[in-house]
Amino acid sequence: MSSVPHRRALIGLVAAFALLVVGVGYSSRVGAAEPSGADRQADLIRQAERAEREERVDNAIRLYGQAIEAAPHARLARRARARIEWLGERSRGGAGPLAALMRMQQLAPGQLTVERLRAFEKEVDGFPPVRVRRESRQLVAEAWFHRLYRPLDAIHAYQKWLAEPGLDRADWQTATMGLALARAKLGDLHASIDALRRAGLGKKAETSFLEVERVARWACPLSFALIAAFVALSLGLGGWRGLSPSRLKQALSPGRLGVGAFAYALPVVLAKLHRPQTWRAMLLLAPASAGLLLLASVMGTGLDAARDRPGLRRLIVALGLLSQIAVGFLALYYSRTLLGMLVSMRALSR
Amino acid sequence: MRLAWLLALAPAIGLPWLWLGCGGGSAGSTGSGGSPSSPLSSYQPKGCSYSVTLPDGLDDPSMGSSGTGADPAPVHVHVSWAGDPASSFAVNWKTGQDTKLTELVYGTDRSAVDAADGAGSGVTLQAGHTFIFGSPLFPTQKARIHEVHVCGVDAGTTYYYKVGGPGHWSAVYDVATGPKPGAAPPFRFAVLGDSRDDPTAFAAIEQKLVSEAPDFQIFTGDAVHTGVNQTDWDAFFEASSGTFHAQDAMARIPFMPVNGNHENLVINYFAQFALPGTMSQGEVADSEGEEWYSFNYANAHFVMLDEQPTGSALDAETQWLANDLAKVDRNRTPWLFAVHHKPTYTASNHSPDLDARKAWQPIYDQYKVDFVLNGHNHVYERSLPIRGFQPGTQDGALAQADSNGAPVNGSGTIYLVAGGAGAPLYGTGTAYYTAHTEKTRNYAIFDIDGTTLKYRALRPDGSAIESFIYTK
Repeated sequence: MSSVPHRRALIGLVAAFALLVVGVGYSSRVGAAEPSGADRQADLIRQAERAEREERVDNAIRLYGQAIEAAPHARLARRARARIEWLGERSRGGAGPLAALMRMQQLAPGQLTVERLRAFEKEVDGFPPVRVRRESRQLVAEAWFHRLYRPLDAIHAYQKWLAEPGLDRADWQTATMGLALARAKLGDLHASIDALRRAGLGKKAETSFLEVERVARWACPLSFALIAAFVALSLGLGGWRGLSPSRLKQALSPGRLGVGAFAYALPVVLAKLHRPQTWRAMLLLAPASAGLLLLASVMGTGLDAARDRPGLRRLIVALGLLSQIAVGFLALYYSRTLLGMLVSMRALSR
Repeated sequence: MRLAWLLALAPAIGLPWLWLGCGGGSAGSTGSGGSPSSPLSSYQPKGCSYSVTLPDGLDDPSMGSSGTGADPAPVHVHVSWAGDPASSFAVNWKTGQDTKLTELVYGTDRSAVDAADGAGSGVTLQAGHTFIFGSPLFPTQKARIHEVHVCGVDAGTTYYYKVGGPGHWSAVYDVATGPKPGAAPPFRFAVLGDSRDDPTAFAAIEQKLVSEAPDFQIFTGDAVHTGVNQTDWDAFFEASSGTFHAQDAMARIPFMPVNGNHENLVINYFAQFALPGTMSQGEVADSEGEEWYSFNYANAHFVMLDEQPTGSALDAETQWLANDLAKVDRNRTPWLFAVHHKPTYTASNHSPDLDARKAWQPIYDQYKVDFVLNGHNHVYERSLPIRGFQPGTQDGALAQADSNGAPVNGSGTIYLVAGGAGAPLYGTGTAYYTAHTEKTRNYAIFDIDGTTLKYRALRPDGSAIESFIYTK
């Protein structure tokens, strides 16, 4: 029997085995040397985000592009695409304006100063009229008003923002709202409310706030005046006699205190338990109403000067009633319940 | 002979009718197909390891079918998770009441999905269920909702999908599944809440989120002003800011909410979101397990709570919370987040929820929860790290913090109030535990990369309220 075929088969087997060993070794070395697509993508995303923070916008866009190529269907590819779109759209005016905007956006609390904002505002005037300028105008206006509390500067900034070409409706409404609120801060409530209504913003919570403030401007002083007038007239007509110790003791009997506590304290407790959003209003309303009623009933026993003057008696009763209404209004206003009610009514009427 | 022939033929004729009557032809379900005489109550979506249970009191609950009516176009499309974010997603949408098409096609090739009218090469069809619901307080506001659950998809992958049915498809959206649980690649999520009265403001923030591309968004409650008023929900889902529509974000960024006092656990809330739903003791019946729930994403665990229960229901929820956190493997998921609507530490308009603080803070402290995310107060407010209570009080004790007020080596829990996505803003206050507060519309972005967390709180104009880095 010949051994040649056996020898050839053996050589073939050994060669195949050697090839296998070399191939596995090579591929494992390749696998160890190169990270998976997803790992590489994550690394590129980290580099791109660092580039963004350092305002190297072109670098960031390039790195995000590489991240997409590394694993185009992976989860992080979506983030890369979103950032490329965002950065690309805002780089149209050049990388400089975008870098300046990003620098301002990243300021830590306390780093925004009047000087810094004014310098940026001046810089923005030199930006080309593209998206990044509109967004910069927004940042400037909102910073003047909401962060540095300078309504006059804010008014000028909102007006510049409103004058930007290509402003969409949402931005226009935000700028109009800001302008109206800034003007209201300087005292012109009527014009501000009017502007907001004409802009179709009449049902916004901010408009409701201004409307409540407009009413409160005359209603609060009037309320205090009514209460003061009632107390003063009662005292002047002899009500002070009712404030003697013996009469006070009679007025503040345990029975009356118990009824008063039930009538006035119970609503507060119930509100706290079941309607916490009305609790503050109750907390103001209950003692104020109770106090006024107590005062009225105590002073009433001493109103000798009004005994034979029905007109005066009617006046005091009317003032007393109006004072109770005034107490109610003040409680609703100072607890912000009045604003909440107006906002809720408008929400329900939508 | 003829009789024998007829007898042999009968099953061949009758079987298809029997099959159709039992809900066959549906591409994605096991379980009863639902019919007027036996409405659909629960089923297991094809490929999913969980079942979907429908609340009682719905009209016409059934698996989708081919009927269309006057308004077949899908609207209010939004995506969430009812199962594992690494291998599933769920989509809800609304149509006219007479439209029962409830299909979803998906794949990894956008153009293939765009062209598809059903299952095909690289495109999978999944069917779901549909129902009509409405509140008795607003009897004319009935809405038809559709819901499809997709399971068994690959982790860390972008899928394209559209919903509706042949001839009446939505636009094509993309959604990405999460990384494998326990994996630690970078991920990002957003936190916002209290959109309520201003859908335009909400849409403006959603537009910002599109450019940030978070992997999901946590919503801290109070999406609408009046939970039973479907008009409010319509305004929420149809929110727009200029030419941008919030749906374009909500259909792509999974939306994971908690119940707020304005949702108030009404059917409108549970019917319109698909959330993890394993019924546990104490949850209201209509919730079908969605009142409180938890999920993992990459190396983070999220517990989504409802602080409204009292008495035995609160006790049951507290027990559930303790059991849930006890099962968390901190080696795989080192990051822990708790979410509920009313804050337990706040110095703004509404007082802190002391009942929730008393019930839950000991558990947060025991399991070293990293962040508690809240809404309810319409401000931005962040606490210093808190761990434990001051002796003899129910006031939190301050823990070690760095110069930015961030914890040091897990020293304490940060309590965040992010309630500025549209509701009227409140004034701010400060307490001994306040790190930063501002009266502004706001949202927060969390970037987690392994054991490093980068936090940014942002205003709608893109400027930073504050930011810090926290490494465990």
